[in-house]
Amino acid sequence: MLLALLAPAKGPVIDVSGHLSVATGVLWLGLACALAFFLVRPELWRRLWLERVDPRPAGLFRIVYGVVVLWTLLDLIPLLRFLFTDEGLWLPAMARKNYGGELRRLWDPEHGFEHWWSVIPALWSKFSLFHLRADPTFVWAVFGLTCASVTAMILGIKTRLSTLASWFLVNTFYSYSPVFYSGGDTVLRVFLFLGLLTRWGEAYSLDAWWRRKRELLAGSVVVPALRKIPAWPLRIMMLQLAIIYCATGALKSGFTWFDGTALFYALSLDHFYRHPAQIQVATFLHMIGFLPLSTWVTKAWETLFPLALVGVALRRFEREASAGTWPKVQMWRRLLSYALVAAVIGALAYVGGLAAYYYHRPTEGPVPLTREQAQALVVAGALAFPALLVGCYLWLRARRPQAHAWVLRWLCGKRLWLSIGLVMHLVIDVVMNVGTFVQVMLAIYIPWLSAAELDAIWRTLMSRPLGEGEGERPKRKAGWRDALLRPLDRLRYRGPREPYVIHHAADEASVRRVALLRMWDLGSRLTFETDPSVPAGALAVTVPGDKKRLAGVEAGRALVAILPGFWWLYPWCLAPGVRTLAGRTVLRTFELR
Amino acid sequence: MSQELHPRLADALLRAPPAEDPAEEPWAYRGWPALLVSLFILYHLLALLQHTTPSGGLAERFNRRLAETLRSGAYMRATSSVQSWAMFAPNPHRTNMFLQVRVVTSDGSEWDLLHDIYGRRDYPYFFYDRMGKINRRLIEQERYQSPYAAWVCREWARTHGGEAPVRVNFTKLWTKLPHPSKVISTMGFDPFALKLHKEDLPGFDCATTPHAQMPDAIRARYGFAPLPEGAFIDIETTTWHDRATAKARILQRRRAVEVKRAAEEPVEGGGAEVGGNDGGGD
Repeated sequence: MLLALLAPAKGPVIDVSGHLSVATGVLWLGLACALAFFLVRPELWRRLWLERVDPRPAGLFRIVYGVVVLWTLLDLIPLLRFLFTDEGLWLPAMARKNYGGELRRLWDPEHGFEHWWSVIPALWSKFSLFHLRADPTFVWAVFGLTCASVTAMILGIKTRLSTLASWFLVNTFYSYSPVFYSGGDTVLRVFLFLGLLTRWGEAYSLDAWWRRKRELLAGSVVVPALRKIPAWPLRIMMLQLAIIYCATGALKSGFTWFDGTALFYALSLDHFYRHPAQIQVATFLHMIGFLPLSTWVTKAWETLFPLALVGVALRRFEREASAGTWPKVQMWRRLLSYALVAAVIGALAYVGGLAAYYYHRPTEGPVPLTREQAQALVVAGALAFPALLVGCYLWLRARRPQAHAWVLRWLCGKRLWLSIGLVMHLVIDVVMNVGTFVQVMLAIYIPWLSAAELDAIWRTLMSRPLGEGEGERPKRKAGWRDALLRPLDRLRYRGPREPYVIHHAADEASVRRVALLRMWDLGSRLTFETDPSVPAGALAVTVPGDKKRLAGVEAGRALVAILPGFWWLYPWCLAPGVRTLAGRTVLRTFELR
Repeated sequence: MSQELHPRLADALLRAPPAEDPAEEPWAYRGWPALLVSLFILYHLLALLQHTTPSGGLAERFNRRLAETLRSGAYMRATSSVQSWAMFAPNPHRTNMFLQVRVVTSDGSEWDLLHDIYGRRDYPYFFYDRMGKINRRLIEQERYQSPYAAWVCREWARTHGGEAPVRVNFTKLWTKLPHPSKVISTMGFDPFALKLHKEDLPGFDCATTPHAQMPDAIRARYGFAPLPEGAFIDIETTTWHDRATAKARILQRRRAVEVKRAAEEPVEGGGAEVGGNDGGGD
């Protein structure tokens, strides 16, 4: 990452051969020190990668991300013939020659593969089924199969297998030729592979539901728990997002990102704007300084995004240190690990200094500096800046606990970094058409959430805003301030809604079946009451505010609103004729009447 | 027959907080699996960092050697993790670019196929139009122009009874976005009132451009007569079979030469067998 920051923008080729060997050696040394750090502190490596975590964020990510993949695929339908069939842009021989990697040598159109094992190196390079065959019937069949496997992945049916099939089949489209790629497609490809490594079918999936249902109906004495999953694929996803932002921020090295005109140009391009009238709005926003400011904020936010990762690590350390669960290690290991970190920073500072020496132009820049001075300045800065940051942090921690808490919560907090991203991407989606780029970028924020944060989101979704003066919500005087703060108050001060009451028979089978409902009740909206008047294997529901008890399909339909897993049935409930089907689907799921 | 459940069990199932994963082990792996997974994580991280950090200047040799050691290029390709994040970088475009695509038919008339989006997009722009992006990419990456022209020839033939046009012509169109300071006084600008620049690019002949002819297999699908012999211009490829055939041919030729040489230069010992055989045959 630091190297990316130090890299000069494209310019004339400069001969760096005088220091190339030493720079190479120093970079190897830096890498060796980074690896040695984890050899000295293996407990940190274990905490970083080998932990088990709650599977719910990964499960939610699978669904949201899968929907974006499916959306992107469906978006390709009008171009399927043009992009992928032999009646389109490429005859397969040319696509194979240009983009088929080793396949162009390993496979012959008349004689197939030379050996059965030739398939392995063919798969190892960029492989697409369409390089072998691309008539429209075949392409449409593969497209149907791809949509089916992605749907199975979203639903969590044989999740590992359907994810593997989705990865292979989706890449059959992407590996055929890169002519149609956009930024969103790259994110999609990269994260599909990471999804393949993740056990994301352990929550919010039919696989997990069937397992837990089987256990509960077979006699479990508790509602079966979700199985925890390895954290490392999710952590790699977090790192990958940080790389995306940091790289794109560092690469934005042109003058428009410094003079503040970049966003004006981006918003005025024919290829992106939603409506040409936006140009007037963009001009106005530029005139009042909003767009230049947003340009600088965007560049800074993207480049510095890895701070969010630092924040996650620091908060974890502080939480565990105060709980006394942070591992204690011998002093020599601790000091050696600090020395290794310092060596890594030193190596990067040295190479950064050399870069300044070679790429600095004394005639340019606000302050006249010789190349040697520029080198010394960069080395000193690269060494002093991390030391200053660590010093400030330790001082705040020791002397200013409130400021320290603010730094952890806000400056290095997920809420700042992800919220800016959320707002930025939503604005992009409103004013620019960039395909499913925005959707996929927002989807990949989900691995950043913890299970507790996800719980809080469900609770907020299922709660109601408190009235003014109710609970902790303040009563504000009418005025502009009230108008401004009221929406925020509605979001901030919330209370639980009244529960739906499930009436059930007292026999074991009935209790076990209604207990299944708890696995779908993500907002804790259900309470249960034994009622001898309810027949065995049936349920009745009392909806808050409605004194009438609902039974049968009406009860099933009433549950759609509070069980997120059935929200997809909501439109059915509005359509006359299929309402009954919606209610029946819910009841059937729990084997209830 | 139904049986009433013990109240405590009913409480556990219906009212107790959800159960936690009973496995107490905080780590996902131990021992060899932990080592193997750690090595994979390390490999992936190094490959990812090598792939996404600059590969030029002072880092050139380091980056290249790391890539060679890890074979990270092959890994990133195999896992479909190849990535580049130069979005709106180093600067966003400051020109709107379009490629006008025209065909010249055998009677000499020229048709604009309206493949560029200039002045043709419906607003508000709701549904993403990849063809607009592809059209711009044809200008940015010239290597796509020949295959695109070839497709235009084939597509025209498909929709015109199998008869291909003579030529595909490209014209680059572009408008320059004004600097914001120049449009503040008018509070914006009309993008379609900007001066439209034009530049003709090299065109492609449908008879000589590789793959610009509709192959017989596809012609048969649409009931068109096959192409005359030699009309289809294929691209050069070398598969394992071509190599094997070439190798066999060389071996055969070499063997034939050796046999011929042996027959022409009768020597004692080595040549006796051949002569003997011949003699035996007589």
